Amino acid sequence: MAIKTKQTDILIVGGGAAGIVAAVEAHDNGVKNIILANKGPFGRDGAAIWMAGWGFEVALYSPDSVDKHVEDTIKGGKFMNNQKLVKTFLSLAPRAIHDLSKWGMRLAKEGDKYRQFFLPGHSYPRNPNHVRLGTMLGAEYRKAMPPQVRRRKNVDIIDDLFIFDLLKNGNEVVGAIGMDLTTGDPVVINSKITMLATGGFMGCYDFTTASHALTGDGHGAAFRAGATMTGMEFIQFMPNTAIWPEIVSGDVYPYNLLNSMYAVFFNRMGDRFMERYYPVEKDWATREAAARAITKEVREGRGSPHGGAYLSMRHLPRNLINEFLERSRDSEFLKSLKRIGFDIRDDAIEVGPGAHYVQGGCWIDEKCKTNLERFYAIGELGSGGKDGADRLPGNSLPYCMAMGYIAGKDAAEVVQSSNMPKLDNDQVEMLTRKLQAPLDRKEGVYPQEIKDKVRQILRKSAIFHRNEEQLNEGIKELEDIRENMLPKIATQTKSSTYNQEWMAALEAENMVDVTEMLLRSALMREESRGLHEREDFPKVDPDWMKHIIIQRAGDEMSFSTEPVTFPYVKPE
Amino acid sequence: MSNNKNLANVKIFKFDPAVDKKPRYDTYKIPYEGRSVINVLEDIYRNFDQDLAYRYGCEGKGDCRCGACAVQVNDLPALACRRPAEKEMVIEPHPKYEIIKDLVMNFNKVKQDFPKKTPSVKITIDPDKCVKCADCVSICPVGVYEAKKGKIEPSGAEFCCSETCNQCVSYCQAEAISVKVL
Repeated sequence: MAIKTKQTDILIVGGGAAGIVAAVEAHDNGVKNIILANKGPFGRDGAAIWMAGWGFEVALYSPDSVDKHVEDTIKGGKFMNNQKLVKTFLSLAPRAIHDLSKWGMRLAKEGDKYRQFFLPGHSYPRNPNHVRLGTMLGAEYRKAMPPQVRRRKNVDIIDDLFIFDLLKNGNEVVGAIGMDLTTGDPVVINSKITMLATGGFMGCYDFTTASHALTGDGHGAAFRAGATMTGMEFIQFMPNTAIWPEIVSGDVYPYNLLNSMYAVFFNRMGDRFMERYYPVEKDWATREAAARAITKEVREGRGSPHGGAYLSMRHLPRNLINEFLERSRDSEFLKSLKRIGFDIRDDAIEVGPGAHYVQGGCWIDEKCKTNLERFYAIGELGSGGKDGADRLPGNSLPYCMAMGYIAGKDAAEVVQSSNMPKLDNDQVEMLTRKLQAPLDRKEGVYPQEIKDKVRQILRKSAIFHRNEEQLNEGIKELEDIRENMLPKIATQTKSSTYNQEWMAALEAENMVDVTEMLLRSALMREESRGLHEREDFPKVDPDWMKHIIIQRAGDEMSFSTEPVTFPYVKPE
Repeated sequence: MSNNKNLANVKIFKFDPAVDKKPRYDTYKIPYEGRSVINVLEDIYRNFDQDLAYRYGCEGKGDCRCGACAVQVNDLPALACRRPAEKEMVIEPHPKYEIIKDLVMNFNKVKQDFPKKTPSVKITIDPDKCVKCADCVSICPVGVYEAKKGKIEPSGAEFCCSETCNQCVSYCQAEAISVKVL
C-alpha cells in the first residue's frame, strides 16, 4: 500500500452535471489547478449525464418568466422550498440551456426560438427537445458536457477514484481521501477548496431508476465531517418503474404504456385492483396514487412475484397495439423485450415504485457554501431545502448547472487569496487504517450482507405508507448494524485490484449513515406532506412548515428545525 | 418465456495483471432467460466469485447506453446491460482497451498491440446526408468514428457494439448512418 498525495487549488468530487459545470466555470475564471475525481469512468458515471432524459425546465420567452417558473416550483414544493435558492438557481437556467446548445446539444427550434413542451406542474411549456428524438435528450448531455472538461487542460480528470471521506483541520475542510480502485492505494488530496458533487443516494434502495453506484458517498462523507444536513425524508419515486423481466429492470418506460396506451394493472390474483381504490379514475389515477395502491397490494400479500404489480395491454385490440409498437420502434425498452422473446401484447410486465431522486443533502446558502469552511455542496447533494416537499419534473438539471456556475465562480475568487491549508496527519493515518481494515481482517461480516440489510430496511419502512412502528424497527436494526456489523466488516476477496467487495465495504458505511438520517427525519416529521407520507399522520400539519436540520454530535445525530420563510411567494 | 430455471454455460475471462502470469477462464452454470449479460455477471459476483471485476454504469435504463459495461460476448463487442444472455456464453473484455482486471478496462488507454479483426458490422455513412457535425464521433462509447480530413470514417468498426448500442444511428440528426450486422 503506497499513499499517493496530491495538491490542488480546487478538488471537485463527481463529474456529473454539477461537477462538470463547476470545473468549467472555475477554469474559465482563472483557476490553474483543478482535480475532478470520479468513482467510475468520467462520462459514463453517475446519473445526470445519461438519466436526464425527460426534462430541462427553463423559462425563456414572454409571457413566461423566471418569476413564474419560481412560483410554479414553490407551489409544487408545497411552499416548503427555500425560496432564495430556487430563485437564485432558476435565474441561471436560461444561461445553462444556451451553453448546452453552444456545447453541441441538438435542440429543436422553431425559427430562432427553442421548441418547448409542457411537463406536469409547470404552467408554461418549458422543456426543450431533441431535433430528432423528441423527449429523450439523455445521451445529448453525455455528448455535450464531458468534452468541455476534457478540452480544458488545467482540469486533471481522475477516473476510478473513490473518495470516501473529507479531510479536516478544525472547522476547515482541507481536502479529501479516496481509494484508487485500480491499485487499492489510498489517495490523499490536499486542496484550498473542496466541492462534493456526488449526486443522490437512490442507489441505497434495491430498486432504483438510477445506478446502484449512487450510494450516498458524498452524503456520508459530508455528514461525518460535520456538515449540516437537511431534507433526508423526501425521496422521489417513479411509480411505474419496470421490475421484471430482469433485462428491463429499473426502466421508467412503462409510464408510456400507461399514458399512451391505457395499459392496466393486475395483482397476483388477477384482480384489477385500481378499480377498488379509485372507482372513477381507475388505472389512470395520478402516478403517486397508483404507486400507493401497488405498495398496499404488495404489503397485503397480493403483489406480483417480484414485488410489484402486473401491467398489461392484453385487453387492447391487436392492431391498436401494433400501431403503437410501430410508432415506438426506436424505444430501447421495447427492443430489449423483443430480444429476449417477450411479447408485450400478450404478457404482462411487472412494475413498482423505483427510487428516482433525493431531496436531502447538505444545508447550503445561495453560494452553495456549507457550514464548513472551504467546502461547497452542489448538484443533488446541495439541498438547502430547495425542493421543498416535492420537486417538479425537469428542475434538477437547471439546478445542477446553476450550482456549478455559482460555486465554480465563487471558489475561483476565493482561491486567488487563499493559502493551502494544512492536513491533519493523525486524521489521514486514521482514515488510511479505516480503508485498509476490511481487507486485512481475516474474518468478519461481509459488506454485501450489510448493504442487503440496509436495502431491506429501506424497502420495508422508507417508501410509502411510512409509520412509527416500522421506522423505529428500522432504526433499531440500523443501530444493530452499527454496533455489531460495521466494526467487523471484512471482504472475502483480498485482491487489491478493482475489488468490488472492498468498494462495497466503503459504500456500506455511507448507506448506514444515509438511511439513519432518512429514518430519523421521517420519524420526526409527524405529518404527510408532498413526498413524505405517514399513514399514522395522514394530514398536513401547519406547525411542520419547517426544515429538519441534522448535525453530527459525536457518535450521535442531533436534530433541530429551521422555519421556512416566504420572501417571494406566500403560501395559499 | 419460461420460469428461468434453465442454466447457461458461462465462461468468464479472469486476469489480474498485477498478480497473474496469464489469463484463465472460469466456468459457471447460471440462469439466463429474460436476463442481460450484466444480470448474469452480478449473479456470479454475488453468489460465486466476489473477486470478479466488471463495470456497470447506467445499467441499460431508459434509452441510455453510457458504455461503462462494454465487453465482448461470444467474440462480438457488446454493451453487457443490453446484450441478452444466452445458453452458451464466453464473456471477455472489450478488445479495444487495456485491461485493469478481468472485464474492467481503462477507457483512457487503447491497446497498442492487438491483431486487427474483420468487423462484424458494416457501417455506412450516406455522404449526401451527412452534415459533418461529428456527433457520432462524440457519442460512440468505444470511439468507432474518426474525423479525418473533413470526412467522418468508421475506422474502428471492429469495436462496434452494434445492436446493443446503435446510438450513432439514433442520434444522427441527418439520419445518415446505418449499422448492419453481418
